[in-house]
Amino acid sequence: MSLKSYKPGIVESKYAPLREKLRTAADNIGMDNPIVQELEYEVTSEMKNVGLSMFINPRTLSYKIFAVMILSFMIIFATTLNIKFMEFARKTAPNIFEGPKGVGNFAAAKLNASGDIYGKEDVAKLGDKELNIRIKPVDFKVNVKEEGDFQQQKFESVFPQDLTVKETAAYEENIPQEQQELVRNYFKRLAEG
Amino acid sequence: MKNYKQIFDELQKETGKIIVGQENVVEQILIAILCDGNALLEGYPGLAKTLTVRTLAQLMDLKFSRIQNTPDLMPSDITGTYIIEETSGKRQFKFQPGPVFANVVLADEINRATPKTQSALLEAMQEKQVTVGTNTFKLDLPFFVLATQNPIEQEGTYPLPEAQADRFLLKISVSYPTYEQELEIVDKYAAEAKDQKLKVMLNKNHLLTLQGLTRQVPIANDIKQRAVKIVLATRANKEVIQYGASPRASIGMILAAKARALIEGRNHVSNDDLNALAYPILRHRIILNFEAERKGMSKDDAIKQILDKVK
Repeated sequence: MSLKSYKPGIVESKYAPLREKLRTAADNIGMDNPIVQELEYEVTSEMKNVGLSMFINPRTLSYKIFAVMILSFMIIFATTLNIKFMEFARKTAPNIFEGPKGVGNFAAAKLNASGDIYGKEDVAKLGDKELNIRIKPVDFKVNVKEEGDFQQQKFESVFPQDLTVKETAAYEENIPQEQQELVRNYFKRLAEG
Repeated sequence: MKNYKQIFDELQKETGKIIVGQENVVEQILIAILCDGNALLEGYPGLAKTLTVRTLAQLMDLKFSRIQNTPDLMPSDITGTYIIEETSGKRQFKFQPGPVFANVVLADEINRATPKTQSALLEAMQEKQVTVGTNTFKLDLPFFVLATQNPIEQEGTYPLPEAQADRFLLKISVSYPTYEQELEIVDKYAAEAKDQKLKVMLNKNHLLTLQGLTRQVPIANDIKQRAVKIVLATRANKEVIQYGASPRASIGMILAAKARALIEGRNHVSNDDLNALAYPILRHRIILNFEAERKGMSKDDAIKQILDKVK
């Protein structure tokens, strides 16, 4: 493994006092011996001096910022002038924008094979006739000559005139009459005494 | 870790009372001692190789012995032998330990001894024990062999075989002092003889603790991998090197790098440690091919080439 891809090696290259120490500590971590423990303590103390700023390359960073600025200005400039990059690309490299071909797209292959994609010629030829087409938002079916004025609809409020309160049907258990009599008599006698 | 650095700095300072310059040599001997290894010092005569080793042994309060190697030196002169001892009318064999029974053994001019005698040191260096007859004797720890040899006067010498040279952790090259250092040497030793008193800085127990601590110094994976790649490169570089270093060199490289980090008061191994120690670790473990020798290339040049390649 090269030092560039080895993480302790990267830190060591940025902070010279840790040179060879950090990787030794990393490779011998967990070893129970006083020298390793002393090394670990020393490395931990020195790691506090390693700042994040050491890993930032000011030159690369300024190049990146400059590139982002240039790109931003280009986008604003293109938007202001209404430059259509897709149109430009379509003109310069039309092959890229050709329809799908080959085995994967049967529909396209079928259409291309017939060569007649517009149907009957008299239907296809519309000339300079004005077409009124309305597309329904739900099923997207096209209806020719289907239009009308906007109609104001009036809604009537209907409220029932004869309001009556009806007694709800009482709940009655399906108990035979004889048994009902028997229970009634029992409670009657109990009340009498 | 700073306390340890202070110990080694003091040790260097004390050595400086006797030895002028040669800080690198002292540091490398200390590295060998901390790694529990042996060192081979190579340099021209009169460069204070023996004095350096003797001084360090004194500073560490270690038992020091010196073996002056000659072609007629026998293995038993190094290891020791059984002698007949008479006590109360009874005669019995008693083992008389040789000079190898010390903490620091200085094998002076080791290439002057025969291969048989040289190999008597092998077991002691590697196994820290000596076998005499059927008995094996453990050596007192810490134990180091610090051998010296001269790169000149090769006639009548027995160059160390590769197998034995490999057992030395480091081959330390002792160079001439600079003009200023030589002036200081002259002032120090040509004037009135003064008895320099040395302070004992470490003892055996301290040294054993420091040896344990050396192995605990952490090393990053990529530095460890680089050490192994450097050693492997000595085997792959056939354009210059005929025979490369053994895996013992990889172990030695990492261990010595850890020791250097400890001496310098660091709690981690650095790539600089590998760059500094690749020379003493590898120079006695590689054999240059004919083409490289024809071009006048030294072993250090070949090692430098490898270090430049393996980043």
